[in-house]
Amino acid sequence: MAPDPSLRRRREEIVREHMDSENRHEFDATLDTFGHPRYELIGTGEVYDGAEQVGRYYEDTRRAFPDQRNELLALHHADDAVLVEAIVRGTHRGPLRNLPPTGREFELPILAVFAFQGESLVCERVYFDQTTVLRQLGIARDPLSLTGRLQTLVGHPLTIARGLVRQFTGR
Amino acid sequence: MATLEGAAARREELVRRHVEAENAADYDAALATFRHPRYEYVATDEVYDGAEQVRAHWDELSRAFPDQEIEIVALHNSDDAVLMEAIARGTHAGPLRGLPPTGRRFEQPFLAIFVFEGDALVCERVYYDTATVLQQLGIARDPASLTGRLETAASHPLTISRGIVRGVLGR
Repeated sequence: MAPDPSLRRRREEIVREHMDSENRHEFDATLDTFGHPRYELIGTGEVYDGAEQVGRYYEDTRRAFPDQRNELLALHHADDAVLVEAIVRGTHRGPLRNLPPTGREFELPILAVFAFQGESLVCERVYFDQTTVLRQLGIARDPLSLTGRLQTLVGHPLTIARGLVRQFTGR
Repeated sequence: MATLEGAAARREELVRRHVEAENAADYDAALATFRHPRYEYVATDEVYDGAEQVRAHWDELSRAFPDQEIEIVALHNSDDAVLMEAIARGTHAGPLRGLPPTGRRFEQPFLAIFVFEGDALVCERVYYDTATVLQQLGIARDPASLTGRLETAASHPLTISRGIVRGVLGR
């Protein structure tokens, strides 16, 4: 059953306020857009569930990237979700887990699935590419580029040697 | 309303046929689901446009991962797209852009936006995390893990030492 126009409008307001309040750094307001606060980060397998965990997640990311902001590119209404294509930008000015700040900027396309139960936002599930961020911060290289391949050879001699043996022996 | 749901049902059916054809390695059938064949990979900025490029892309993938299979997790119908959450699985049994086969398996969650013009499929835009595959194939490490951090420190001494200096100086 496709959502009726008024439910769509209500959901879109919630999603836009969610993203705008993040840009204003009003994370209490962001938290309030959830009926149940929950993040699922698909690339890393991280899950933050409940107000306390989600609040800490906001603190951690904003310590690492104090100027982090998003730009909404496209918004897709589905039956029980609003799916958003967006770009996130920020500068690495604080510790990221245990990585010291590099001072570099990143620009990351993401797809966020805002899952709804009726008009209640119950989860934001985010698809993104970790390598895109790490490469721009200068702490990872594309393993398929030339320097990346050389680095892979140096850093992973056993895996590569096994692969070469397998290739030559055909098994 | 009835016609809109009819159109959504037709689009969803076409997406399922597209995935089934790919899983069966029936690339003629997969190609025939497009009016205009086109892939966009957001993470890597790769674009494959037209039958020839899309076919070459599938050939490359099936050579590297001959048993690759896609499992649909959720389909979201919007006004002009079907957004698919899915998991791809496969074994790295053939060369991948100069990297010899590692024999390892990967399991990759991804989100694909099937873009339609009316009933016609004109693009598949894919969001996924390149680090997930590369870590599972053993050719990249999570930079937040201990070995990953040591490796990062070893291979990016300048970036990291700049970062540490900045951290100590507080700027």
